[in-house]
Amino acid sequence: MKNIAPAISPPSGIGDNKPANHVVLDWVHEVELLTKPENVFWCDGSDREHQYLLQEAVRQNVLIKLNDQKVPRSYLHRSNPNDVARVEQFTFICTPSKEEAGPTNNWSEPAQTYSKLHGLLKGAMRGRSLFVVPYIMGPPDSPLTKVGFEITDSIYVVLSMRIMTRMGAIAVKRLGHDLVAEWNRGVHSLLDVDPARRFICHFPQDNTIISVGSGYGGNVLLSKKCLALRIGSYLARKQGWMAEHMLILGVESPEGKKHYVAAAFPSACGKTNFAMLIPPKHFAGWKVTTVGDDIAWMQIRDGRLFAVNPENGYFGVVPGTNYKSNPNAMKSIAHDLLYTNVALTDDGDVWWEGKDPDGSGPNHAIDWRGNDWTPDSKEKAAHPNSRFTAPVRNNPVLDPDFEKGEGVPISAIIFGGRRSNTMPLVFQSFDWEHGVYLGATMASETTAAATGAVGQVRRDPMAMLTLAIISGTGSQLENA
Amino acid sequence: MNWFRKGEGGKFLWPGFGDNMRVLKWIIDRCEGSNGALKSPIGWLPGLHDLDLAELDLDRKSVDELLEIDHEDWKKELAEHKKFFDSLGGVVPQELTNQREQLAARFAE
Repeated sequence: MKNIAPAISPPSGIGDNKPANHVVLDWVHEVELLTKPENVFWCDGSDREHQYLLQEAVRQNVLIKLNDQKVPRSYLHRSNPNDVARVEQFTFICTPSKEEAGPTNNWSEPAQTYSKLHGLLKGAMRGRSLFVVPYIMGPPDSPLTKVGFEITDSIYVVLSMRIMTRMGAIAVKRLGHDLVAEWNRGVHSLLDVDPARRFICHFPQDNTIISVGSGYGGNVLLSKKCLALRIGSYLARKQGWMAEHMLILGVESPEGKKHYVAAAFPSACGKTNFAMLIPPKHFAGWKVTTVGDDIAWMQIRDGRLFAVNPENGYFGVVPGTNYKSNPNAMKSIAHDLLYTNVALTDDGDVWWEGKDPDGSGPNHAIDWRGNDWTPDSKEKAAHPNSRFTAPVRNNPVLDPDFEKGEGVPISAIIFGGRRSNTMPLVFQSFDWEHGVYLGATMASETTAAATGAVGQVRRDPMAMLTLAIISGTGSQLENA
Repeated sequence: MNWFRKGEGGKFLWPGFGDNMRVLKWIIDRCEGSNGALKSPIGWLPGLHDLDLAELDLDRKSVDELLEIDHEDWKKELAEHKKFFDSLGGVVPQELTNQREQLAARFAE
C-alpha cells in the first residue's frame, strides 16, 4: 500500500500526553497491534500541538497555507477526487439482527463485519502515525454530553476534529479513571483511499465506529453523523432523549421576547443559511442567533423540550456562500479555518462558484483537483460539495446560550425540504401527532451532499433517513 | 416549510435568505397565538395578510402559487406516502397510518 500519510516525529512535549484511563490505553494498544503504526500521537488539544500539526500538514502537502492577508491563519485541503461526499451505499449499521438496524439503513452482520474490517486494518498504519483524538460532544456541563475517542492516521482529521468538537484534555479529564464509563470508540484509517475498500460501519451495541478508505468529512469526522446522529439516536432511545438532524436558532423581537426553534432539513437545503439569517430592513430590531446549524440533542424536562448543539464548529457547503446569501457565514469563514475542495487563486486566496454575487471571479485559479482553471474551463473551480470547517466562535451571531448545559427551550419544530412543487411555503400541523406525520413523510430533491442521483424526490423522515439507527424507524416515529 | 417551490419557467418563487424571516415571524406569531391562519386539508396555512410581505418585490400571483395546494399534486403525494410507509415494512405506527387516512379524507371533503 502506498503511504499517503507518512509518520511524523514530534519533539518531546508534543503528542506524548497519554491519558490515565486503562480502558482507553488497552483499546489503543489493541488497535496499535492490529494497524502497526510507526508511533502513537496522543492529542491534548493544546495550541502548541495545533501549531506543530499545522506545520506538519503543510510539509506533507495535506494542507496549503492561504494568504494571511486574505484569510488569516487558514488552510486549504484537497481530498482525493474519488472521495468528495458521504457514501451512504457503503455505510452500515451492524446490529445483531437486521430489524434492529431499521428499514432505512444498510445492515451488516457484526462478527463478519469486524472480521472484514480487521482484515483491512491489519498493518494499515505501517509507516504512519496513529493519532488518538479525545473529544466531547455537547457543552461541558450538559447532562447529555458524550465522550469519544477517535483513532485516525489522518492529520486532516485531527485538525478538523479540533474545530468540530471540544477536543483534547477536556475529554480525558471528563472520563478520568472511570473504567466502566460510556464513551465512543472510533477507528479511522485512510487505507489507500480506494472506493472499493471504503466502509463506514457502526456497532451501536459496542458504541463503536470503524471507518476505512475515505478522507472526506462526514465519513471520517466520526463525531458528527456517525456518533452525534447514528450512534446518538440509538443511545438516545435507550436513555430517553432525542438525537436530531436539526439546526437550532434563537429569534428575539424588538421588545426582547425570545423564542428558540429547531428545524430539520435534509443536507444542503440551507440549514446553515437559516441558522445565521439576517432579517431584512423591514424587520429592524429583530435578531436571529445561532445555537447550531446541523445537529440537536433534545430532551423533555418539566414538560418543556430543551436542546443543545453537541458540536463546536460548522462543516458547511461553500459554493453559493457570499455576502448577499449569508453575510454571517462569510464572516465565519474569513479566518482560522480549513477549506476543503475549493479553488486557490493566484494570490493565495480561496474562490468558489457564487462567491461574488455579481458573477465575477478570478481570471485564473487552481481548481479543487489541483489543475489550472480559467473562466472558460468546463470543470467547476470548486467542487459543488466543497466545505468549510470553521469554529463556532467565528460566528458573529453565535447565541449567548450556546454553552448552556441545560440547553435552550424549543418553541417550534420546523420540517423542510427542497420541493419544486406540491409543498407550500409554510404550513402548520393541526396537532402533535399530525406534526410527527409531517416529519415522517418529509421529502427533498437530492443534491450533491450525499452521492447518488441528483434532482429526485427522496423521502427523508425527520431528515434522518440514513442517519438514524433504531429498531425500526417506527420507534423513532413513535418517540418523536 | 419549503423555500424551493418553482413557478413557470423553473424559477424559484420565494426570494429566500434574509426574507425567510417573514416565514419565521409567522411561526413565532403562531406560537404566541397572535396571528391568523386558514384551515386547509394539509394543515394551517397563512392567509394572504398573515404573512408580513411588506417591502418585498413579490407579485400576487407568486404568493398564490407559493401557498397553493394543488389537489392533483397531493393525490400523487399521498400515494407516495403510502408507498413509502409500505416500503418500511410493518414498523410504521398505527397513529401515522391513521394520519394518512385522515389527510386523504380531508381532501375528499
